[in-house]
Amino acid sequence: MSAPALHRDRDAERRVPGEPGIWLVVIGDLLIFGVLFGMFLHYRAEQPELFAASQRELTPAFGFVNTLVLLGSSLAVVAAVNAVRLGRSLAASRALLVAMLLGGTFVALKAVEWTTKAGDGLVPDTNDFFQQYYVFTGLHLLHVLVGLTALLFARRIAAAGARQRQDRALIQGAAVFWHLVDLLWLILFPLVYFVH
Amino acid sequence: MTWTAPAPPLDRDAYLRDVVLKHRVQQVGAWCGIGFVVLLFGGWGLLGNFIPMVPPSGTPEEVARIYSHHADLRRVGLLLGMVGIFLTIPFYFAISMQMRRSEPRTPVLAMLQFASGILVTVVLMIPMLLFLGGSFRPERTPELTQLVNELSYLMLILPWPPIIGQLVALSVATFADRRPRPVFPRWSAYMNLWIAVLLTPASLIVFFESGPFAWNGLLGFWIPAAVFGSWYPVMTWLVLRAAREEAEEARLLAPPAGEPVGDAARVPVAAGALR
Repeated sequence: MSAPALHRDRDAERRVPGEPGIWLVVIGDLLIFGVLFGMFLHYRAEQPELFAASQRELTPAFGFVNTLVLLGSSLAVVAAVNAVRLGRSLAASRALLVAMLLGGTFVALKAVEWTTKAGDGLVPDTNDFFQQYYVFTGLHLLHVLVGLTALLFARRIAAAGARQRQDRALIQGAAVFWHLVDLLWLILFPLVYFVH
Repeated sequence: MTWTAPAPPLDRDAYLRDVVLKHRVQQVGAWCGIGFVVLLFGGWGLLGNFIPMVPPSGTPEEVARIYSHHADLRRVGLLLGMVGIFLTIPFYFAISMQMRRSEPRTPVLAMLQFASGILVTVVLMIPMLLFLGGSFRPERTPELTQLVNELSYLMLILPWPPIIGQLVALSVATFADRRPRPVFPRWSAYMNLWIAVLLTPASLIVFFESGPFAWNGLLGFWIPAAVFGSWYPVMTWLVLRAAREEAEEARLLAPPAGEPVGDAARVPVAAGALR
């Protein structure tokens, strides 16, 4: 069966990766986070000294390692989508497992970071900066968990062969959402940890 | 198990009359969704003047003073809100009536959606009654008015889990729908999941008395309320469309004139269209 060539031809007919519906989520989420980032900048402009001082209390190493972790997992997801397109379901399933393990690492590191900061007495009630720090990273973490669930489903579909065009669209949809999670972090990280 | 009683013999006219009736019932149910949003935000929010919100950071005296202003107008607004909240029942029922078409066997997801919906109605109805209780005697000890006000707002904005039950059941049913003409479009399943995620920040209102995450804040109220409020008109439109398609499909299955349809078991296709 010349499945690989067949897959590629059929996929090329579609105009957007995944299903159009997933882009509703992506654009909607970018809008909401855009508003939230605007809100952060607004509060920062009101209390510049407090925000700068609080920012110095954070440990950028956590954020930096987590950035690399997420970028690595996005790369694994790209590899998985390619493997699915070529009909190599075992490779796709393995790549998705790697992506999920890296996603799990992100969650674990975030938990350690939060616990350390809270142990130092830096909690949401401390000031406006930490209130927003916890809420934004928490909302993002919720996205990571939703994304991990999506990757779990994608891996099941990939392991089962992903023969239908709709199967491949679902895997691409999960991949698109995971890239969104990555993209949001790439904005959130410098904004919360570095921007003065 | 099905939701139908054994059908009496139907001739063509009786069948078509029933198709029209079931279509009408669902149309009314669908419009109830718009009615709910208008009466809740118009009655409770604008007329009752609970939007802009009584601030969670307000002192007991401030809260009591707000309640004593235009007290009767507030009560009328709250009564309208209470009426609107009941309209969610026919609305959720119309959604489940359509969902069950995408489930060829037992309509489990339709039941889950409706059962969760009933709980949503309850946790909206109770805070409306609490608001009315708070408005009943604004001259009482201010601390008591503040307490009732806190209970009212928290209960109205906070309870998102039953809404998640509705939205997840609805999106699973939509994703699993393999009919040639799906009941609800696939993009609506993504929309429902996205709304489900955006409702959860309402949890933040129990932690903060002021700022963007309090019950009068952007993330505590306005974003969840905006997505919650826009879900209803979108679903009204989708249910109206799906109910129209259901009626069209049912008409095609009408028995020929002069040939009464026997019991439901003998003509499973036509019965299925009615169910």
